[in-house]
Amino acid sequence: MTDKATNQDWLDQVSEDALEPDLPIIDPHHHLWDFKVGRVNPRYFLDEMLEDTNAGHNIVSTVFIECHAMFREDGPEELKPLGETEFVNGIAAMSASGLYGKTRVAAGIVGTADLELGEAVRDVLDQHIALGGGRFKGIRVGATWDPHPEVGNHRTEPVQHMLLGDKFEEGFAELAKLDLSMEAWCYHPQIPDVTELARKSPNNRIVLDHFGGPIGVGPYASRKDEVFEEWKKNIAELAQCENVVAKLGGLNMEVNGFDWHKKPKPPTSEELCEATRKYFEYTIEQFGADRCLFESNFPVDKVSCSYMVCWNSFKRLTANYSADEKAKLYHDTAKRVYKL
Amino acid sequence: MPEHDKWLAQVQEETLEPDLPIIDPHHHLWHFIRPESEHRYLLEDLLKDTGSGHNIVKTVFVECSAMWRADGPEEMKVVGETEFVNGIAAMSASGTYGDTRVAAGIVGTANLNVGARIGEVLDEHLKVGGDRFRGIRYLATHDPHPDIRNGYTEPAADMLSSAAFREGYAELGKRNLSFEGWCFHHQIPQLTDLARAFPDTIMILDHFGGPIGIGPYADKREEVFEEWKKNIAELATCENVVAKLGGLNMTVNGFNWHKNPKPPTSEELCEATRRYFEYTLEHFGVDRCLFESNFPVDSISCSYNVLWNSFKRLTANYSADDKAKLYHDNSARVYRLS
Repeated sequence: MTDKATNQDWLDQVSEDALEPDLPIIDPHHHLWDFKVGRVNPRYFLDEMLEDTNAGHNIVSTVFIECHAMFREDGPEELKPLGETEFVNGIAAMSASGLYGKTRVAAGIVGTADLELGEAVRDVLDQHIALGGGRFKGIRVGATWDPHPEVGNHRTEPVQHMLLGDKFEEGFAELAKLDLSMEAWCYHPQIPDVTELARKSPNNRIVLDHFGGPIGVGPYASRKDEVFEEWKKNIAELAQCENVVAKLGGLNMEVNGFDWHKKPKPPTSEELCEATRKYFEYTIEQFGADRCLFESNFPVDKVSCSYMVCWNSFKRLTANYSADEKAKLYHDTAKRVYKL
Repeated sequence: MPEHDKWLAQVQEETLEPDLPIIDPHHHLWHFIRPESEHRYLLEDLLKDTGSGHNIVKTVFVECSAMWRADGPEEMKVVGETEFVNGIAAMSASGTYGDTRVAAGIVGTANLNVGARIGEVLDEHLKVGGDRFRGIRYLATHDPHPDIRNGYTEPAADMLSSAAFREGYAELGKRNLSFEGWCFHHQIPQLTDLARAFPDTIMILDHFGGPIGIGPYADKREEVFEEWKKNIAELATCENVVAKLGGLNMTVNGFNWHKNPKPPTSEELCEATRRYFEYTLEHFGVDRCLFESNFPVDSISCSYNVLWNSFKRLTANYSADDKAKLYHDNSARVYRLS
């Protein structure tokens, strides 16, 4: 009953066995959706997810991250995102029935809410928590903004410094009161905004998604080294904030400019690992293993590689890490951050 | 096409009165994976049925022990079903799967036998049910004969009368939740007694109170009918009880449609079961009756399209007002569907 990815035949050209197949992994970042035209899995429900998580790695649980799925068609605008939490909690319940194997899909749910509602966002958050069946852990803010038309901004059409608006700050404060985290998705020039936000509100917990989105397309395509230097500076600053953790992954999207999807064959885990190693190592060096967590960002990153190859690339990177560090990066940090 | 679908497909009918708005107040959603078989009836499977001709505007899910939690406290496991169904309801309410609002109402389950502390479970259902949770069903079907399958709750013969059960039942009314009564025909008097003891709690009689037509009852259809009539007349005197019209096509009812080479037409179905419908309508009145599909259980005997056609044949000469009540308005009222 599973839908095949549109690029499945291309992906199938690289076949690998799972490295360290017993290592327990929490995948703290994936989506579930239907009718996502333009993605390699327009439909990515429990069945499709399980095909990936059952491919060979030991995925014990997962965290769903909002993706504008199943918003309510009717009712007040600000409550429409509750439909996504209801939908995902339903899939989580199916998974928690035990009928579909050991992996607990969406054991954590990160939804969305418009923080620019200010204090009024409290009601939306309370409803997310109630509907989430104990699984609701926070919200994500899509802040990705860039002045260049070739770089796609977030579907929510954020303004440049949305993270620093007064109303936003008011809504952000409500998250801390409910002990919910905020997932920040921005581009690398915006990382300083995340840092400023984190400093202003040390009681808020922030999760940086996808390395802060180093852009590699449009005007940035020819300036990769310059981007890397700017990114490094920004990451080093952000890492000073103890209330921020960093997700390691989500570098295989089109916007990152590696162009894997344009090649005749997808990358092997070795190729992936080597091409992106410097981002991972610098972030781990700055944040430390206690504040880093590997993420798949599937099915978005499936545009470049299979789930199997994705996690193999991480495992190559950590081949010489201690068992303790591995436990943190693949499991314990995610467990702590999302209170699983 | 699976064998059973092929069998059903032998009877194809035009949909009668295809524009009449219908709320289907009784269906299930499930996925059972057992060593010997697998049966899946999820959103897309239901939509195939509701989209097969009739104008189904909304549906109400009724519990079927689907997706109970594997872990956690025993009494809370049932909340997994409400979470699961509310997820499907949310998919439907996103508008991306057509106009039918699936599971606009949710009837879950909870073991009322544990007494007053079941209130905690009911509150949890209400919390995760996204404003859709309306009540519970807790199977009471009990018959002493070994050839009659009792409810999976393994109810005692006198469960509905027990003090502990009634202590749990009292928690429903406090939360404006209804109780769905599913029992066999000889147990209807117990429901009547329960309904009288809690006049402020809405009770919904499922499937005509389950007139049995198999095992020792197979050759006593007339006797069963007479007993059933007496019991229904008595129950109908309780103003807080409404009756669902449907669910007569299960194996326990003994019509044995599924053993025939071809499934029944809507005319055959209508004529074979007409007297149950008409007697119930006569006693409960058009304000307290609601047609139900009981799918996919009743799909053992007929398709969704044929089933609703059989109801429409029965009501062919009813007024527009009466039809509106039976097919839509009563369900909207009973389950508070806006």
